[in-house]
Amino acid sequence: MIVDEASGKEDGSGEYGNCNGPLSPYVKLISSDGHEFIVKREHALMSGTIRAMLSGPGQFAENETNQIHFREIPSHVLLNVCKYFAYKAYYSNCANEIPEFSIKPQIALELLMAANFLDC
Amino acid sequence: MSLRPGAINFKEKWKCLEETVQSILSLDTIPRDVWHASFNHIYFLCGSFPEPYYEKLYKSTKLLLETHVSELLKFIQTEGTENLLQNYCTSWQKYSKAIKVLNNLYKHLNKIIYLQYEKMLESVEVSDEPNMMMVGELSLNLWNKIIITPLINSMSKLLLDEFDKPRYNLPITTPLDTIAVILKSFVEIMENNETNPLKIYHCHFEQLFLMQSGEYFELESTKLSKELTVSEYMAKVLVIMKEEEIRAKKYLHESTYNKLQSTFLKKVVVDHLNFLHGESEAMIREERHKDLHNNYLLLCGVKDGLVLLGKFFRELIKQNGIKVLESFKKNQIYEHFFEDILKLHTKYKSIVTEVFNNDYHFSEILDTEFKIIVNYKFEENQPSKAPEYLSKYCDKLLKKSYKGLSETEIEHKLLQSITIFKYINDKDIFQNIFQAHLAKRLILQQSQSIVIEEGMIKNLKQSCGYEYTNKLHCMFTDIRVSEELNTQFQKEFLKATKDKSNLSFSVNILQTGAWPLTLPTKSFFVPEQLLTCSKNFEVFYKEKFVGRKLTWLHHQSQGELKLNYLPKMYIVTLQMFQMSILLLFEKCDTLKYSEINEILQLSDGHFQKQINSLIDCKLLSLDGDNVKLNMDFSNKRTKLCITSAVLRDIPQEIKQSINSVEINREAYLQATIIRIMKMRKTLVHSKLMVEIISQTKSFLPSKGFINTSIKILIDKGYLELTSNLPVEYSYIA
Repeated sequence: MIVDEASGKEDGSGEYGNCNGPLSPYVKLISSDGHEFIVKREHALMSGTIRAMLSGPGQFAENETNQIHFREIPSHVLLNVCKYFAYKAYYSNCANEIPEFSIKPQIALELLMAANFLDC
Repeated sequence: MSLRPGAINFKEKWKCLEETVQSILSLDTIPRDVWHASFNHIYFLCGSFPEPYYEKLYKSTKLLLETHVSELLKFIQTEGTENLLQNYCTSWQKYSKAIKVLNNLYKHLNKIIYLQYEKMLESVEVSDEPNMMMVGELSLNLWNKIIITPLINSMSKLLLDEFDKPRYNLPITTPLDTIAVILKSFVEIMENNETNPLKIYHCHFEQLFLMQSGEYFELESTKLSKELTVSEYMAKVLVIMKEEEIRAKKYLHESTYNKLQSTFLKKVVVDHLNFLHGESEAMIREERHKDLHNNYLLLCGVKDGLVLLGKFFRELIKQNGIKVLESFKKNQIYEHFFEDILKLHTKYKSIVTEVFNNDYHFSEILDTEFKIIVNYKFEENQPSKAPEYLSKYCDKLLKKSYKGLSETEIEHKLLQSITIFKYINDKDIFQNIFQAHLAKRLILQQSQSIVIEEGMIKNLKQSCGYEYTNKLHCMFTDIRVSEELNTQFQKEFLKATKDKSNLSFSVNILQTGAWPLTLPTKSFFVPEQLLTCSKNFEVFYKEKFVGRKLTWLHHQSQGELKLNYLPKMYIVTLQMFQMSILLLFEKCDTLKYSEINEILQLSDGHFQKQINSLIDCKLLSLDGDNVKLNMDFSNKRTKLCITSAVLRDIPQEIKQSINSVEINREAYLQATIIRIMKMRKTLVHSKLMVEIISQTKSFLPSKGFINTSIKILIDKGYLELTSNLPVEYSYIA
């Protein structure tokens, strides 16, 4: 369900793009415990580190999946990171009052370190 | 693994990282995992605990880069000077791509370095160590220090030589694209340097290049100016200019082209200015347009280069204009006057567009000179005759009697006359006279085609604005409406009354304000045959438009009479008064002069004119006091028109219109002044003048005229003089 929130629908046609190739609309972020998060490319590019990682030497081949394996970020942290991407994208151009992004205090420290690493 | 900062073995991490960096620098492909892992390495190294290794990381990276670049230097220098440039180019291209990737990878380190830098800016103490730069900047810096600095002199010499070769038609050893890349590298190296990003490029290449080019231009131009004539010189020089331009724009940095252009112009044009100007006058006189064009192209880049050309051009127009004016003084045929001026104008306009590239300077000269020519006053103290002649010319074109030209040709001629119209100063005089002519044409149905007329008015509207042609439009609408009214009247009334009058009757209803016609002062005795019809029409009109007053303009009306009392039947077109005189003879053949006068109730002079016209054409004969119908009247033609004798009073009309224009102008000027002052409240005299002249478009008020108007307004109490100097006025509300 959370993956759906983060990725959203494309064109309302019921078909989703995939993660393959250099122009794919989605990218895959894999946490340390193997949970795969598929998010929109433009959301993920909000992180400077992810942006640098994805623009590495050479292009991704057409059938190569754009994925990044974060061996140090657990899934409960990466989940909140993805939520944050969606939150920021949604409220970036909004003139209305922006609600607070709630963070559970238990994961706050780990989320802080992840944010530092990901530069977002 | 977690993101917590922890103890890290530097050597281990660095070994892995080193490999990655090396493969980046040699542009090898790196597997995804390795690429992502290196990000982690850098992060951990920077955030390691207890001792952060970022300084060590920085130093090691720097060392790595230094060794790499020094190797590159050796490589570049290996094969001697011939391949120096080529090797440099290839190495640079590889290197610049690599450091971009490297910069991305070291993002985290860069962030830390940047924070350090900001801290340093805030703190007061000076540190001994050189500042850490971000990795991208660092790499460029190293390249600059290690490779460019030792090689720069030899490279710049080679570059300059290469660039010079095409000028002497020598084959170039290094393709110019390579050179372009090298020059670009000089610029890109310094891109982080905010103070002077083009330093290397400037000092080591551009200055020398400009000097070298200057020498080349000087040599070439002196050589060519001695060997060739002016026209050949100009052509050849322009070719060279074009070549240099293409080369400079393609291969050099964008800022260089302007400097090159100015050097070129200085050496080639300014130093040889006399040479170039020597033939300018001859070129203009003999109309050597190609040479003139080249001359213009060369001189337009030089400051004040075109002044002399402009002077000659002005002289030429003036002389030819005077020729036209002289011929007109002799002939006094105004059509030729206009056609000649038009020809002159089209000729010079085409010269300005083609030869002078529509340069503002020259079109201004054209306009000012033509204004003088067109508004030339043939007699002192009288307004120029141009508006009068122009409207007469247009009148002739628009009348039915103008044969020999197709409709499109007439339209074309009228369009051309608008170009001359724009130069006329007294546009309102033209408006009045044109309106008078138009009224006559419309009433007497003399215009050739309504379409052409409306086209002409549209052209006038485009050049002068809506107010100018407002009345003219009204006149057209009146005629159109009258036609409709006439058909209605014919249908309704004549059917209804079953009036077997053998008359056909049509009326034109004209609005009082729009037509330049005067209302009659005296009432006139309408002949009985026409009385019923006119009364019927009045009733018809009053039903249609309640509350409007109709006044008959008999002095403008005309009619056709069929003369049945003579052996041959004649149809005569007559003015109203003449017709009424003749109609009196329907019942009898002879009448007394005084009787006719009494019945008609016309003024004496008027009556005499009308009767005399009839007597002159032998329809009536005067015998003492008796006026007799001439039964022996004969004429070759059956259809006659006798109106012309009475209608030839145009010069008075024109004088009248000029006077009324003067009065209008005064009122208009005063209104304008008040309007300006109301807006501005207070205004200096000179500024007021400027405003007034810009707002009066239909005529050019003289300074004296404006001054008198201002005085009148002060007297009337609308303005007052303030005590400030220079002379200032203020508006009294």
